Amino acid sequence: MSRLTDRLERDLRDIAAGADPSPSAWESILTRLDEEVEPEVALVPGLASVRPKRLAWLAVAAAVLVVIAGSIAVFMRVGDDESISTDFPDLTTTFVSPRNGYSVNYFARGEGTVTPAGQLWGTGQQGDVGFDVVETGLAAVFKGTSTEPSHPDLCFDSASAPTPCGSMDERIDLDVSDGGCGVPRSQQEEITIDEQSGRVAECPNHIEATVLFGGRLYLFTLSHDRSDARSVFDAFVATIDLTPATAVDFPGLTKTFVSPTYGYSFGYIGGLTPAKERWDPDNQPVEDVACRTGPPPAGRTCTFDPRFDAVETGRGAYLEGASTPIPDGISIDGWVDQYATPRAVGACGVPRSQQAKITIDGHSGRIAQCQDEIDATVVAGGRLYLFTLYRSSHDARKMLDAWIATINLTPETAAVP
Amino acid sequence: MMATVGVMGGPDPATDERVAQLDALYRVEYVGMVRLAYTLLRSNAEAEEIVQDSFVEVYRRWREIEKPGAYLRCTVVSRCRSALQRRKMRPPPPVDEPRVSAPSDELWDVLARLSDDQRIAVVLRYYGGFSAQDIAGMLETPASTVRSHLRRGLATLRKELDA
Repeated sequence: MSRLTDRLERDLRDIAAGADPSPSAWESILTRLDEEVEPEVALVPGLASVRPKRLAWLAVAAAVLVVIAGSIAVFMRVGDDESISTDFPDLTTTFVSPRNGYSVNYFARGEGTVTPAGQLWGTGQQGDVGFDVVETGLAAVFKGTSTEPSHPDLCFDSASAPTPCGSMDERIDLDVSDGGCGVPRSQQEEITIDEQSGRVAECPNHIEATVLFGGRLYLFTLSHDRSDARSVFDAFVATIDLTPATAVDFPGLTKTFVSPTYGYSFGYIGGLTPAKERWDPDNQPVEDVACRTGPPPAGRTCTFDPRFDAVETGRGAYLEGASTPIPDGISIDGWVDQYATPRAVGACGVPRSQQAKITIDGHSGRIAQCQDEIDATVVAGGRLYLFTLYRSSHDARKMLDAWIATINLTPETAAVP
Repeated sequence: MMATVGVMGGPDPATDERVAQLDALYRVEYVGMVRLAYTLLRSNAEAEEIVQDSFVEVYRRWREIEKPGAYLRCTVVSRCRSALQRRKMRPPPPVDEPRVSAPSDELWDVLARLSDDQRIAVVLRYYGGFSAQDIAGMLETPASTVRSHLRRGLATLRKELDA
């Protein structure tokens, strides 16, 4: 046995010794049984003499509860004919997931009730960070997330080892490797979520449902300590709208790069290659050395454009950034069109003066969205900044916005040419 | 002798027997379960509440379960896991004043930095003495995942405790 495990066992025993189990715990349990378990099994050993009085009180309390429950019961529509009754508050506030392509109602009880997912589901070991989390404060935590299901020809087990791909249910069992309460999806109860047929599994203190829609696998869970948990879960589920087209599949940009050259910082994920040469569009020919728009020029091989800080996200997105001093006496829009972003003009045919506006770190800029490429330009402190995203996906603009939100412009820190 | 009264008035032999069995389970498991929950949560009040709730849950499902002791352990661990999750969403209850030596305080601080499942796996393995397969059953997780939690948890503990 190693020193570490020896110490672990010893120190854990020390910690456990700090517990102080109550000598009257058994009486407490019996009282709970009397109060919480269904009437036909209620019992109070050792308290038989007070039974009639207690029963009378319980009967009155039960009657009062029935009246109160009847007056505050929440009736929520499910489908066309059914309704669910629960003593949970009305779910009247809508949360639109910024990443996962759905919305769900909840009841607002102050700030911090909902924590949106900050990362892709299944990315690393970040606990709940891939889930939108609705903390009800009523012994129930609702969570939702979604992802593209595993590729039908590329399946891995929970230890990331290749494994044969089976049916969609079997693939989902692999995708949700810790889920299902141990019940294979094909054997789980059916549930309807936004008119889509899904599956639901229940185990102690946990309910989870999965549904496939629009090419996405959705997972919704309720961690709880409530006897009416299924009704609460169904109440949440009844408000869900699945909008797979609004989901994004790019990761949170959790690392920060501070450019030593260009006077900015931005968030990123994946591999970063800082610029090795200076970007000087006035004096450099436009050359697609990165082969973003076509095969390499004769006699050249594709490479990173060494003038740009470049990020390979590993998630089907490529980011570039650079800045340069603006020459005196020029028209910004015309100069940008001619020298700085000729690719954008060429691909989109939209002059900068007609491009959509965007704000980057408080500075008004322009944005040109072409096929597979978005160029954002902004002027700050006498410098032109160019940020480019290459991505061929419906969520490219959302990813650019997420990236832009991490950018800080610090022209005063840019290296002097 | 234990007195048992059905709520409708007369004694219920079946209920009487079930309470006696629960009492036997209590005598065997209660203190150990509180210590286990305390080792995960370091709150005596929270640990006791969870374990007592778990006994009530066992009682409710007595007819459905084959191994009450195993079901009790699963329920306690599951509720501790939920309690740890809830702590992320709201201020945790104050942990009890340490009554133990400084080295275990240091271990507690490092354990608190592990993910919930890593912490649970480490405590169940090295305090509870359960195998990865047993822990997998309690966490409703593949054994390979438990082994991964243990491997990563131990790596962090080794790094932090050696630092």
